[in-house]
Amino acid sequence: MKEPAEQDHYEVLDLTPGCSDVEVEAAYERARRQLGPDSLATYALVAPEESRLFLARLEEAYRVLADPEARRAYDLARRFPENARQPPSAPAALPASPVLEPRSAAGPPAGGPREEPTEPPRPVRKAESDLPADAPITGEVLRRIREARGLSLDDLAGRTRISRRYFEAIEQERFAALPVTVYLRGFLISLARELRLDPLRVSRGYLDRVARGSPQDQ
Amino acid sequence: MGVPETGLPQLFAQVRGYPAARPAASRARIVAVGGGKGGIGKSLVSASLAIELARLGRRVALVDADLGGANLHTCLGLPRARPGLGDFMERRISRLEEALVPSAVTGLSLVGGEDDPLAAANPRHQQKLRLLRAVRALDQDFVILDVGAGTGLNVLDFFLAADDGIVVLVPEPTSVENGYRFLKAAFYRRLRAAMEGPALAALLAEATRQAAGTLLGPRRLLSAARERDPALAEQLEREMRGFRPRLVVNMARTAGDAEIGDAVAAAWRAYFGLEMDYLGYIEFDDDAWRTVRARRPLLVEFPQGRTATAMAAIAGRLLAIERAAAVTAIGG
Ligand SMILES: Nc1ncnc2c1ncn2[C@@H]1O[C@H](COP(=O)(O)OP(=O)(O)OP(=O)(O)O)[C@@H](O)[C@H]1O
Ligand SMILES: [Mg+2]
Repeated sequence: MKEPAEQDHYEVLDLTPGCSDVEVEAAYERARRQLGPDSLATYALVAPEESRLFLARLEEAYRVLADPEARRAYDLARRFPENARQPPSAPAALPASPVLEPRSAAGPPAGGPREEPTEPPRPVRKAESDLPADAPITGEVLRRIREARGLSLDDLAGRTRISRRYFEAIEQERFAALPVTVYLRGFLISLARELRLDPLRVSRGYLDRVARGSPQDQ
Repeated sequence: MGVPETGLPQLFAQVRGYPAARPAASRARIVAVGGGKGGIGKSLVSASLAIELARLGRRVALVDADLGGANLHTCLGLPRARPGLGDFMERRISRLEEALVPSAVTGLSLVGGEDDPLAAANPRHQQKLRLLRAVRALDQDFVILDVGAGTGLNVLDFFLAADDGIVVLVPEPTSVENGYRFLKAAFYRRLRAAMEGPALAALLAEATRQAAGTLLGPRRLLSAARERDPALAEQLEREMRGFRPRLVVNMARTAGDAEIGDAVAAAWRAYFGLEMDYLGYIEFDDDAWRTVRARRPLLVEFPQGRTATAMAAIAGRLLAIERAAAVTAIGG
């Protein structure tokens, strides 16, 4: 049993990996009808953000599983996660305790207060769209990767069904405009998937930053 | 039949969801009917289910545990009779059996409720435990408890002490809202009873803080638990599996209404990671209020009516769950 953001695409649609295309369509139709915002069955069940997050996951799952090409790649990544760029499902974890994260060589020892570099690190060897292993997860870094992937904020909103203003606030690190941790985490995981980054690393890294409270907030 | 001294956690723990492990010593299966909102047909469902099960040859006791609004005698067309549940709780009678009144339906008897609004509406903890133990010890095949409206602790405790907790829902937002509130309250009540100690309290506090005061769903609670305390997480997962309410949709008027039961079970599962068994729906039936007005049980007046047919299907599903439970108990 996992959080919606951690469930894989099959789990979200309540399907088994070997299922047929017809089953994918039927499961998606049923889920939209039963679990969508207009369903009486979801009335007053969860907070609107929770429901938005779940429906975003539903759309994402359908987008992948209904597209034969994308599904094949996804299935392959599911079976051989070590070779895949994006793990199909992140291990369960809430950032309740301090999370461990690769630190830059210049960083102070773990546990102590840490100064985030004011300038996002410039990738040296890799392309702009790749995330160096030691790069901190900042709003600025996420923005650059998004732009390198040729995605606009509206593209992200359209693909994930998460409101554009949340992505904007994430990139601009306006922490006060972001939802509480449990939802923000889900948004970050969705964002990481769109940017083809490791969802766990992005969510942990960014939440760590939020927890440290280095908001460039008004 | 000897019943060991037990507190609430033990009473709740004896119920293990579905398939529920049934104790070796055959005892009455307890079915509680609740749903949070008033006037949605909890009493009608309780009485009709009791009649249906009695017709199938089971020995059934219908117990009016609606401490603030007892009226099951009216649903069965019986006069208010003493002694009732209140007399047992106040120890004016020593055995609950003394309060059993036979009804016109063979095999079905009633323990009437308390009608003094002050006397028994708020029983002390010990009174409640004594009642629940006595209910368990009744020499019946089924005991149906109408737990009444609301989400008070007594209502929740009666609901949680049952083998089958049935939630009645009417396809309208107010009832759905109260129904979910009832289910969440029952789940957390069960959790707190089962997992006493600081670990769960700390987890709940942390989870609530993270969610900025809103109640966190069990799914998220579980991943928070996994992060900090695997043993706690395991226990939590067990409790989640053990909480498996049944659902009856009442007063369905449209084809869409008939589908709401499956949708509620799907939503409950998708968002909370908890299971629910949908037993079936009852249509809005003009004969229901007509027969109540005449103080005649609907299923007795119209044994072939559509509500009787619907109840037969609902009882059938409940019995199938019981059979599955029995098989599991024998198998392990
Ligand atoms: N399927 C139905 N079709 C039409 N009327 C119904 C139906 N079910 C219940 N009713 C009517 O709705 C009214 C309320 O039913 P009932 O007393 O069973 O609800 P309740 O949930 O027990 O209420 P309370 O919370 O007051 O105990 C009654 O008049 C009953 O006859
Ligand atoms: Mg009633």
